[in-house]
Amino acid sequence: MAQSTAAKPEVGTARLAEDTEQGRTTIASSVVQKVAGIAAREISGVHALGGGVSRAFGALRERIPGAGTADTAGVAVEVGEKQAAVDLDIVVEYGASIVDLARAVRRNVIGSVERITGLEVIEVNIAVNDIHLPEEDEETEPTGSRVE
Amino acid sequence: MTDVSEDVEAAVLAHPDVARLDGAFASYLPGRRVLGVRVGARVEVAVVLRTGRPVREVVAELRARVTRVAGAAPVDVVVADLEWESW
Repeated sequence: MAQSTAAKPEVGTARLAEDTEQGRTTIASSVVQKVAGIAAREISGVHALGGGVSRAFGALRERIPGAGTADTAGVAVEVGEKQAAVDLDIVVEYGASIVDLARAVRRNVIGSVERITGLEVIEVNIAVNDIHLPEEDEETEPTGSRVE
Repeated sequence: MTDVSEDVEAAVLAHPDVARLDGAFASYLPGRRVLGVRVGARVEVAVVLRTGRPVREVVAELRARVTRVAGAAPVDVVVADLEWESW
């Protein structure tokens, strides 16, 4: 536990490598989280984010020493000074190839997070928690017609 | 006669990619406070962005705007959150 002696950054924030005479730039973990969430949702075949238990265990892991963490709605991120790690819980549409889908999600998340935040994404872990069937929508729609 | 913090506020809010200033800290003036701006030896600004552009580019533009109204002090920028139109 040699890392515990290092100064911890303010919870929920990460300092970008950019620290020049002109000033420092700090990016909150929630920014990384939103970018990752949006990038995941953009992929056709991803029905929703969330619904898993992997987030509960996320807090126990610390892949980046002194990293800030943020966690909501199926997207957990760990953000350090130069790197970020992302955990996603996704619900996929029935019929999509999960392997191909996961690969596409991973590629899009890495691309977006690196482009927008300038952080290097070291890993994107994807947990597929459920498959969404088209019938599930139809079941919930016809309400109100039973009693007039 | 406006305070420097108000000039900084106006300069930052005028940028199209800035949704609002974030209230992590503030400047306290007679009668009002300017959220997300602190002016001392350094200028500190906390913003919520509304953008899909690289944060680094937007921050560089903000820094230039702030320097124009607040002088040559270093400008620390905190990107506190993002707002997306579809959210």
